Amino acid sequence: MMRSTGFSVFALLTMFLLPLSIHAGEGDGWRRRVSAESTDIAREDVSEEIRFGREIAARMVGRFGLYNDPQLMKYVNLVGRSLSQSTNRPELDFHFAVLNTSEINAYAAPGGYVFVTRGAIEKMQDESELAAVLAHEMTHINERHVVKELNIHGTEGSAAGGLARLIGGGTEAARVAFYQSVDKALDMLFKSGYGREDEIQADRGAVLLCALSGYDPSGLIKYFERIGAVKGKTTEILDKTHPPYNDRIAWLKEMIGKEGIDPASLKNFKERFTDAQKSMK
Amino acid sequence: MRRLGLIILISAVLLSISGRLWAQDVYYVQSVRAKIMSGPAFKSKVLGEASKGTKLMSSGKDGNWIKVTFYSKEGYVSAMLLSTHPPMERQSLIKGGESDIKQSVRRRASTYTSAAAARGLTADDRRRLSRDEKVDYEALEKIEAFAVSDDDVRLFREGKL
Repeated sequence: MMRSTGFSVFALLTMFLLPLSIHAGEGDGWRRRVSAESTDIAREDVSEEIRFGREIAARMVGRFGLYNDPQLMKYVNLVGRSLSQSTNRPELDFHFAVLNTSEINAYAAPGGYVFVTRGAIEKMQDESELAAVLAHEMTHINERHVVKELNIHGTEGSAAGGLARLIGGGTEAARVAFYQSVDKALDMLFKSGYGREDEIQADRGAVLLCALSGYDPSGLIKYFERIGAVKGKTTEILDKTHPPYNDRIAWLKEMIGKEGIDPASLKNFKERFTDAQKSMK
Repeated sequence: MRRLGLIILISAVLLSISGRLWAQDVYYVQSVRAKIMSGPAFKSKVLGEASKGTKLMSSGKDGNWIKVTFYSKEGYVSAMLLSTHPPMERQSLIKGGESDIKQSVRRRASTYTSAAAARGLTADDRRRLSRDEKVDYEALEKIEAFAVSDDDVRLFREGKL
């Protein structure tokens, strides 16, 4: 009787566990979307991500100043908002602005803050280049690269959960840790840069986001070829914090080919960009 | 009893195998619109378009594309536009209701004060720190308040603005 009961228990356990093991074995690979983190993110976690990004963004604007040109601001926001319609983060309100510096660069802060410098826009030749640069930064945001690079992990392992713990901790130690994280994030953005894998993902994400939004993603290649020839102080931070242009151009070309993108069939809105560029003093 | 156990075991194995064969995953469109393509490439034919929140059953993945069933047809959607959970409502610290705004302002003030307090600073020190660290909340709020309408975005995308 005992043996029979034991066998039945074994059979029942097998019935429940076998499907789970088969499911888990095959699942992790293809079930995951192209984004690195597909786990459900709680509403509170997103709010904390935005609050963290706000602190970083306020310091970025403080460092360079806002380029005060309402016409250009509107134009950059229209390009950015066009891209944001094709992102997988509908919970984020993306904000776009031009930083008043001759430095050639673009920055992203978690939660939806995207900045491009006046110097970068001066070097661009059409809207597809601007769109690609914004899309690269938006991918850093969508993939939560800053939070991941800083290794802020919550008890459940998610980066966003870690932020909620830091901010919502309520203790002085938690607040100090939060502001230390803001300082570290700025140090990473201005000095050490994201990891190489993050940059590859952001470049590839930019290709996809541009193509999905109707922009020619090869605009990013043209832009890299142009600014790669610029030497001196204006590209100092960009060169220090990013992989070499030749590597980036190689994986961009590979991605465009692999995804079956026909750049000629997509837009660059050169005329519209030139008009917007003219508004710069 | 032993025979019953054996029957249950065999049934479990058969159920698992059939479950695996018929397993489908659920995805939700996160973007405003998502094109359903005939193949896993941008140059493929467009079969249709699904709007945000549309639930799609998937039977596989090919590179950065998810294989889905759309109106009984098999197609592919860029994985960039999908997620396994329904789209979340937009989260904002500044565009919520009045209470949200007040709470947000209070929180902004308190977080800044707390950070400075943690460093043992007085109100004067905090003002100086704000200047030295060049933290510009005023410009940031201007950026956050800047809005373009959905109509303008639509016209802009169509090249009419």
